[in-house]
Amino acid sequence: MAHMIDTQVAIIGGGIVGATIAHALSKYKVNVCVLEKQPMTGHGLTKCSQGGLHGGTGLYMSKYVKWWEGGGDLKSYLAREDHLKDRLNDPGVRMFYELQPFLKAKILTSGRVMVAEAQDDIEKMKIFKELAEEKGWKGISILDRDGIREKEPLLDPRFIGGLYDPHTASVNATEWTTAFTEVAAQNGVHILLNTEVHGIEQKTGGYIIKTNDGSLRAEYVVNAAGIFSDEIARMVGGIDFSFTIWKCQMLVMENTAGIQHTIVTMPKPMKSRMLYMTTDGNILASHTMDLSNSKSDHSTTREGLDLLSTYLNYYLPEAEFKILRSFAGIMHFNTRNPDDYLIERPKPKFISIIACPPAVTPAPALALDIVKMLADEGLGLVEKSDFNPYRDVEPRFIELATEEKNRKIEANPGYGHLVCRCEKVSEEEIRQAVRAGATTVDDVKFRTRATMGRCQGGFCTSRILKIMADEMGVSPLELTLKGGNSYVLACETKGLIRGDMHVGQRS
Amino acid sequence: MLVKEVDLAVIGAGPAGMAAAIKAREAGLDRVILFERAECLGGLLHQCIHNGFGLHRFGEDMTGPEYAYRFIGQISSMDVEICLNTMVTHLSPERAIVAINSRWGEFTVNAKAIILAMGCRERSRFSIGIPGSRPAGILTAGLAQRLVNVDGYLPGRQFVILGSGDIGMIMARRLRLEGAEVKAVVEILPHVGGLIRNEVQCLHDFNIPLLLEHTVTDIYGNYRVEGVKIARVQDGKILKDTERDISCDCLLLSVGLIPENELSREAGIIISDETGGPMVDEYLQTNVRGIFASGNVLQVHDLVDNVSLEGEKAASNAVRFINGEIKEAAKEIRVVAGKNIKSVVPQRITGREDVELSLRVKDPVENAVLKAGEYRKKFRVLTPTEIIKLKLKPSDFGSCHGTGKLEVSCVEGVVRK
Ligand SMILES: Cc1cc2nc3c(=O)[nH]c(=O)nc-3n(C[C@H](O)[C@H](O)[C@H](O)COP(=O)(O)OP(=O)(O)OC[C@H]3O[C@@H](n4cnc5c(N)ncnc54)[C@H](O)[C@@H]3O)c2cc1C
Ligand SMILES: Cc1cc2nc3c(=O)[nH]c(=O)nc-3n(C[C@H](O)[C@H](O)[C@H](O)COP(=O)(O)OP(=O)(O)OC[C@H]3O[C@@H](n4cnc5c(N)ncnc54)[C@H](O)[C@@H]3O)c2cc1C
Repeated sequence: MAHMIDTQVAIIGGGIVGATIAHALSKYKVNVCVLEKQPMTGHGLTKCSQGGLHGGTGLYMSKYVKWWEGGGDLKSYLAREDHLKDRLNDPGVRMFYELQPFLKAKILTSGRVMVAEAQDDIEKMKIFKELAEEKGWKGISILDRDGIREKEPLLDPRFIGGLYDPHTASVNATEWTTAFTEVAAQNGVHILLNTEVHGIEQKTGGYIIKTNDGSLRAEYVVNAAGIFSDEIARMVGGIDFSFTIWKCQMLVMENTAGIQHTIVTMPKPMKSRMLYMTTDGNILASHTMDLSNSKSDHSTTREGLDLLSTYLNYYLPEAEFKILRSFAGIMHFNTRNPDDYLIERPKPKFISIIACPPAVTPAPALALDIVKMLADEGLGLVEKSDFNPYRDVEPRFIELATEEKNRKIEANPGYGHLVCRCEKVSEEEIRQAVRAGATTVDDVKFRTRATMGRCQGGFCTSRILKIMADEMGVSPLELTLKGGNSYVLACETKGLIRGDMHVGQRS
Repeated sequence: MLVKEVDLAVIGAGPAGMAAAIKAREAGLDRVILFERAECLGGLLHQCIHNGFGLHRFGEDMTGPEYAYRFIGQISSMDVEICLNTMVTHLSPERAIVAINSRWGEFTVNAKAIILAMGCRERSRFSIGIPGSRPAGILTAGLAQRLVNVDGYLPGRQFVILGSGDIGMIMARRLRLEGAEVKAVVEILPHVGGLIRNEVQCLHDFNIPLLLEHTVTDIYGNYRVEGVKIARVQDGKILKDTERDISCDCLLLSVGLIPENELSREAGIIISDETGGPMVDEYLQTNVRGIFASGNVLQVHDLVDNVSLEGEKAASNAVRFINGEIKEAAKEIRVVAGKNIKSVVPQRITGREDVELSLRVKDPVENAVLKAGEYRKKFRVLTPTEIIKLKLKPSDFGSCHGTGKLEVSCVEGVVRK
C-alpha cells in the first residue's frame, strides 16, 4: 500500500467474523477491503476454536450453565431468545450447510452423545429435546444405558443413559475463514494481509485508517478485530467495557479408540469436559479454563495437560489414546453484557462487533445482519450480475478415486509425489496452497494438513520448506512459521562462523 | 490402474530394505521390487555424516553415506526394480500393496512375500507433553540433522537439547562445530539415553553441559523460542523449587524413536507394546503369513551393522517361505520378558530351529547372568541403551515345549538404579 487507497467499506480483522462479512458484501457492487495484521486470515481467535456447529440441542449447552447460576424454571429460561448470539445460532448452522457446496470446506456431522449420571440429568435432557424439536430439529432421542453404549460401546456403564443428537457437527474454523475470504477475493474484495491498523481519524465523508503500511480512506468501517476490537473501538471514542479473558487448553488425540460421536456430560459452570470429533476424525479433549490477563498467551501448562489427559478415560475408562498435539485458545467476554455480543455504532457509518464465544456458528447469519445495518447507514447495495459463488479449490488429492488420481498425475506429475507421509499430501497441493496465497508454514499446514499428523512434520518439514521457497521464489531462510520473526531457519551452515546476519536483521 | 505381480516386495530402502533386496536376489528370487518414498536410496544414513558405521560388518570405520554406498553400489548393478519417490499408502493381509508415484500413478503390487523396512520416526514435543508456547524453533533432533547435514541450514544459534539419545548427542557436537552455542543437553534419567561412546566423544570432549535428572518444564517465546525452563526431576517428580530459565532460540528434542507401523496395523499385524514393532517369530515373520519385518520398524537399533544383518535374515526367510519351506508350527512357544528385561524379539518361536534373541534390560546391571530356558550367559555390564544378542539352540528350550513359554530373565547381578 504505497499510496492512499480509497474504499467504500473497510473491514478490520480477517477472522471468521470479518471473513463472513466480506463474503456477504462481495455479492454487491461495493468496494471492500479487509485489513488483517497477520500474514494469513483465520489465525487469530479463530485458529484455536474447537469449531463446533451447535445445531439441535447445542444451543442449550451454554444457556444451561447460565440457568444454573440464576435458577428459575428451566424450560422457559432456555426458550427465551433475548440474546443476539442465540437468535443467530440456528440460522448460522443452516447457512453453513447451505454454503458448503459453494465454499467446499468440510463439515463433519458426527452427532453427539450426552451422557447422564443421574435420573435428574435425563429429565433435563428431555427438556432440551422438546425445545429443539419445537424449532424443527428432528431425530433427537433419549437413550438408556444400552442405548448410549450401542452408540459408543466403550462408554463407562456408570452412565445411566443420555441424549443422542444427530445435529452436532464440527468445522475447521480456519479452513472456513479461508474459504469465505477466497470467494470474497475472487469477487473483488481486497484482502490486505500484514496490515495492522494503528489509528483511525474521522474526516468528512468517512475515515482515514492508519496502518503500518500506509493509510486508507473508507466511507464505512466494520470493526471485527476479535479480542482487539476494544482497541479499535477506542480509536474513535471512549468505551465502557473491558474483557474478561480465559485461556482454554485443548489436546488433540488420535482416535485409536474408534469413537464415532462427540461425547459430553451435562455442562457445569467452569467445567467443560468434552470429547469433540474434529473434521479429520481426531478427538479433541476440550477444554480447561484459566483466567488470563493476556490477549496473546497461547501457552499450555503442565497442570492443564495433565487434566486434559484424564478426559478420555472419564468417559471411556478402558480406551487408550495417543496425543497428537496440544494448544490453547482464548475466550473473551465483555464486562457490560458478558452473555452476548455488543454491536455498537459509536460514530456514523462505523460498526463495532464485540463478539464473544461462540462466534463461529452464528457468523454467517451475523454477517447478513451487519450488511443490513450498513444499508441502513446508507450503503447502496446493488447485486452484481457476475457474482461467482463457487470457491475454486481442488478436493484433497488422496481422497480421490484411483482413476481420478491417475488422470491428475498424468496431467501434473507433482500430484504423484507425496511429501507428507502421515496426511498423504502431495507436492502439487503444497504448491497450490502457496499459489492461493499461503506464505507461512502454518498457513500451508492449515490449508493442506501437511505436518498435522503423527510425526508433526519430522519427515516432511525439510521438504515443505524447499517446495515453498521454490514456489515463492525466495530462500528458505525467508520462511516463517507464522509471520513476525518466527523464522524457521537461522542461517546457512557455516553462517555462524562467517558471521552472517539473520534475514530478519538484514531487512 | 497398473497391477504388478512380484515375488518379493520390500517397503523402505534404508540399510534394512537394501540388504533385504540384495539378499533376496542373491538367493535366486526373480522379481524383487523396492519402494522408497525419498528421492534416493539409503534411508536415515544420508544425514548421519559422522563416523562409526560398519565396524562390525566391514571392519572399517565409515560415515553413514559411505556405509550406504556399499549397498547402493551393489543394488544398482542387480536386477531389482527400484521405485524412488514412491509412497506406499496401503497394505493388505493378502499381501497387496498400494503405492503412488509420478511414473505409474496409484498402482497395486501383489507379492508372494513382503518385507517391512519402514524404519522409525521421532517422538514429537506433544507426544511427551511439554507445556508452553508454540513458537518457531522447536524441532526433533533428526529433523535438525537433516536440515544441517543435507539441506545446509542451521535451525538456530543457541540450543538446548532435551533428551540424550544418540541423535541428540551427535547433533550437540555437530552444532558446536558449526559455531552454535549448545547451552545444555537435558536428560530426565540418571544416565544418558544413547551410547557411552557418544556421551564421551560428543559431549565431554566438547565441554557441552549434560544435566542428568533434569527436564524442560516450559517453553517461552511467541514467534521464536526465547528460552526454556528446566527443573530437576527426582523419582519421576519435578522439583518446582529447582526451576530455572535458560535463554535459547532453539529447542531440539531427542526423546525417543517410534517404529513406523501404520501400514503394518492396517494389514492386521499385531504390534508389541514393548518394542513398538510387529510381534514376530524366529523367521522375523509377523502374525500375517508371508509378511516379515526388519530394521528399525521391528525394533529400534543402535548399530546399523545389525540392521543390515536383520534385513538379510528376513530376506532369506522370505525366500524359504516362498519356496514352501516354512511350515506353520502346530504349537508355538511364547517368549516373554522376565526379571529386569524390557523387551525381547522374537516374541514367539517354533522351537525347532536355532534362535537369536535380541533384548534390552530395564535397569543397568553389573555381573549379570541372563537365563532363557536351559541357556545361561554371564555379562560384566549390561545397559538399557544396547541390544543384547543371545544365540539359543533347540536343546535350550527343553521344558518350554510343555509350558509353551520361554521366559528370559536377568537372574543374577547388581542393579544400578
Ligand atoms: C476452547 C474454545 C472453543 C470454542 N468453541 C467454539 C465452538 O464450538 N463454536 C463456536 O462457534 N465458537 C467457538 N469458540 C469461539 C470462536 O473461536 C471465536 O468466537 C471466534 O473464532 C472469533 O472470531 P473473530 O473473527 O471474532 O476473531 P479473530 O479470529 O481473532 O479475528 C480477528 C482478526 O483481527 C485481526 N486483528 C486484530 N487487531 C488488528 C488490527 N489492529 N489490525 C488489523 N487486524 C487486526 C486479528 O489478527 C484476527 O485475525 C471457541 C473458542 C475457544 C477458545
Ligand atoms: C541420528 C542417528 C545416528 C545414528 N548413528 C549411528 C552410528 O553412529 N553407528 C551405527 O552403526 N548406527 C547408527 N544409527 C542407526 C542406523 O542408522 C539406523 O538404525 C538405520 O538407519 C535404520 O535402518 P532402517 O533401514 O531400519 O531404517 P531407515 O534408515 O530409517 O530406512 C527406512 C526407509 O523406509 C522409507 N519408508 C518408510 N515408510 C515408507 C513408505 N510408506 N513408503 C515408502 N518408503 C517408506 C523411509 O523413507 C526410509 O528411507 C544412527 C541412527 C540415527 C537416527
